Amino acid sequence: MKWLSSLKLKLILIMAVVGPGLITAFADNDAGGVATYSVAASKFGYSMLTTLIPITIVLLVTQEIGSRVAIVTGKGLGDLIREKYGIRISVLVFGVLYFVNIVVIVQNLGGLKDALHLFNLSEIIFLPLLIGFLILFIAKASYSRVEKIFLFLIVFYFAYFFSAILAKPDWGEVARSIIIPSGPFNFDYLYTAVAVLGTTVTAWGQFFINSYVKDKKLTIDKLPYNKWEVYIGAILTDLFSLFMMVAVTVTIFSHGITITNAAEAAMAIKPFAGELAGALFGAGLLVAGFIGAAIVPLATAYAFSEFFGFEGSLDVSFSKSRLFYGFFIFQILLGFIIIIIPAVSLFKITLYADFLNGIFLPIIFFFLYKFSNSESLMGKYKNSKLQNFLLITCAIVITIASLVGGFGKILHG
Amino acid sequence: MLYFSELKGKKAYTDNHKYIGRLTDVIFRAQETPNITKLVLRKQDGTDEMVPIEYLDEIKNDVVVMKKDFVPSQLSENELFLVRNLLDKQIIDVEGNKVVRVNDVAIQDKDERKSYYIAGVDIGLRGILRWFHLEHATEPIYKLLRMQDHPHFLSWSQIQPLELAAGKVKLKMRQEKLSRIHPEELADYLEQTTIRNVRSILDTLDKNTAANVISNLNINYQQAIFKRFSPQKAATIIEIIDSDEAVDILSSLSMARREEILQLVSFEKRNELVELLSISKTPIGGIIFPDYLSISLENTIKSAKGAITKQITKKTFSDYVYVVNSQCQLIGVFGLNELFLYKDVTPIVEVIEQDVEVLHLSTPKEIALKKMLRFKVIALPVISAHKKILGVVRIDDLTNDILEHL
Repeated sequence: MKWLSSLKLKLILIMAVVGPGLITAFADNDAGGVATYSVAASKFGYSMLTTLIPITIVLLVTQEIGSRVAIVTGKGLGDLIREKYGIRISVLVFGVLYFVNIVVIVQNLGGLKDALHLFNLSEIIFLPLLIGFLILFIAKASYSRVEKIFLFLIVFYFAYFFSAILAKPDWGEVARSIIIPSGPFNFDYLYTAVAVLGTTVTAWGQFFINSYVKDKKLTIDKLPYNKWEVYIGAILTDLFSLFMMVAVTVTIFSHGITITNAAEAAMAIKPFAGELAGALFGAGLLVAGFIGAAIVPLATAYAFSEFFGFEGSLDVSFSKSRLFYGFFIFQILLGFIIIIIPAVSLFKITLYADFLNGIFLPIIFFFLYKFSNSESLMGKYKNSKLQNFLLITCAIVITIASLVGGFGKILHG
Repeated sequence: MLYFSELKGKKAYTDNHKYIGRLTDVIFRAQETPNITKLVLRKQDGTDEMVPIEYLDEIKNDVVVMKKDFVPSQLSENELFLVRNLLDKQIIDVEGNKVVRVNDVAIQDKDERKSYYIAGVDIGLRGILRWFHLEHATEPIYKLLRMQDHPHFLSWSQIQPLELAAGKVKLKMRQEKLSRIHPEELADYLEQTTIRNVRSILDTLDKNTAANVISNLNINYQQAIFKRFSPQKAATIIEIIDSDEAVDILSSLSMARREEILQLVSFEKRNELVELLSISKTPIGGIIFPDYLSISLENTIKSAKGAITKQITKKTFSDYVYVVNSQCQLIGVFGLNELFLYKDVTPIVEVIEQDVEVLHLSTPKEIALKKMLRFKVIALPVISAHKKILGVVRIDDLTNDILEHL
């Protein structure tokens, strides 16, 4: 029975590090993510599933490096960029991050709004209520409580699993499509694949996992467990992406219906897979929007504190960390104001933000590469050759993809 | 005063116009008075050269001029790099709370001695904007919002120098107790706390170093220190420092105290000092000229012009303009001509010379004259014990007076 107790011990140790990897990975499937996956599957069906394994690898490699850097150095990406590259670069990087993140927050609040619509809940009442709750919750709760709530919310992603089951897909074909590329491989397909990649692997996600791991104050002996937590998080989150795309493919794609956002997907699923499947899909969107609207401004607030050296931790009281919490609140309120202005075209902003995120990512990867290979910072925890190869490949792929995708979309409209 | 952001990246030439490299960093000593000891110049081949500050000839608007016979040197013990160890680093308070990062570093220059030291760190928005050359661009916004542009400087005296080597910019106090001060008061603040520290560390220093430290201080502080010294210690220091300086300090002390110290000075030096003191019987009190120009330090060049226009008459002594803080204490000086050499928006702070040579009511006329000749100025301000400016003594009045009494 020795192996059992050692397994138990291992599980306990993994449980102690659970949080950053899972939460960041699931937040990558925020409202914008749900929308992108839904639209992609509605256009290309199962052939989009081929993108999942590469995306998972990119996500898992980059998130692992990010969290390792945070654990070993005890510093966030913002701290390191400021200290190694100075104030000018820091202001520029933070400026871009801030802009991109505001757009992502708007996307998430938009998703939240649409999800409320689906359940016939008035957005005028419930959106401010949800936002108010969110602000209070982040400002008042401790790190571990915030983390527990996030982990609890992740359970709601199972909604996608059930809506996929209810749609009764051919699982054999699903499995084949994941492994064997079958896409049309035209420009539109490539562009959509890039969008799917870009919505999962994000600049804010890189900043967030770094800061969040740092805030958890994990010690270096937890490194191996953290690695597995990050890997499991990346795999799980893409598994739910799979369910999402499967549900959409079986119902919407196979009937040739066009959708432009996640709420439309939830509506369109209903006639084919039943009311419950649609409602579950909508519930998933609601949770995704909420998590996104909480995590993304948190990522910016963390980065702000790091770049400019203010106290920034969920464990520090509001009065001691005013700028950190203030920055968090400011972004949500700004996002809320933008979303209630009817003249603002969410679609257009999203387009440019995605593009910006795409060309921003290789820059973040550059910093990540530099820090994770620095002897003075990382010592024996430096990147291995394989990790470097993967990181560089990811950066090259994303650069080419986002350039092609961005210019393509601007040219094609 | 200058900022590191203005210094970084400047091209360095020798005084016979040969290009050396770009200034990328400076090296300072991590101690109570953080003197800058070396400049780091990056040559075209990408290697760095550490050049002692003694070879610095001049810092111009766009370039740094070094003496052509400069000899590069190595990093010595207790020396740190400004960029590597201070700039952009996290400042934490004594309890480890994060306060802010170092946005820029204020460097104080003492012109006549060609020496530089770090006066303090800029932790404000201006410190960030300065790197983008946008420092003055925000002024209209501040004005529009009627916001006070709060000073966001920490004096060096608030930082624990020994922690720097360990990669920490750690403060000596809790965050709530931080005094954020005007940049122009940084040097003053440093000196104030230096007094306390100097007294406690002087005993551990050898006498030459101690004398050097003291003669680098403003006379007010010298006086303060001498009042508190043991007579033995005071005598040792008096032996070493310049005789003029010694007489000025001794004149400011009480008769009893003066005698007490002089008793302990070596025979030769004592004779010299007694003679100097005997010919310097008459203090400058009678020839103080009251009509001088003084403005407050919150001015910009433009508002200073306005303030001066209101004060000036035909009789006003107008070669120098004295700058005072909110408590009317003298903190700087600049030449009237400088009003026309800077842009209107430039804060007066950036123009003034802070290391002002001053006279006291007790300063003998002969010593005053010697000082003026030594520093090549045509007048010196007279200040009270509380650093309030009482008037100026002009070299023409002074020489006439001395001649009359011959």
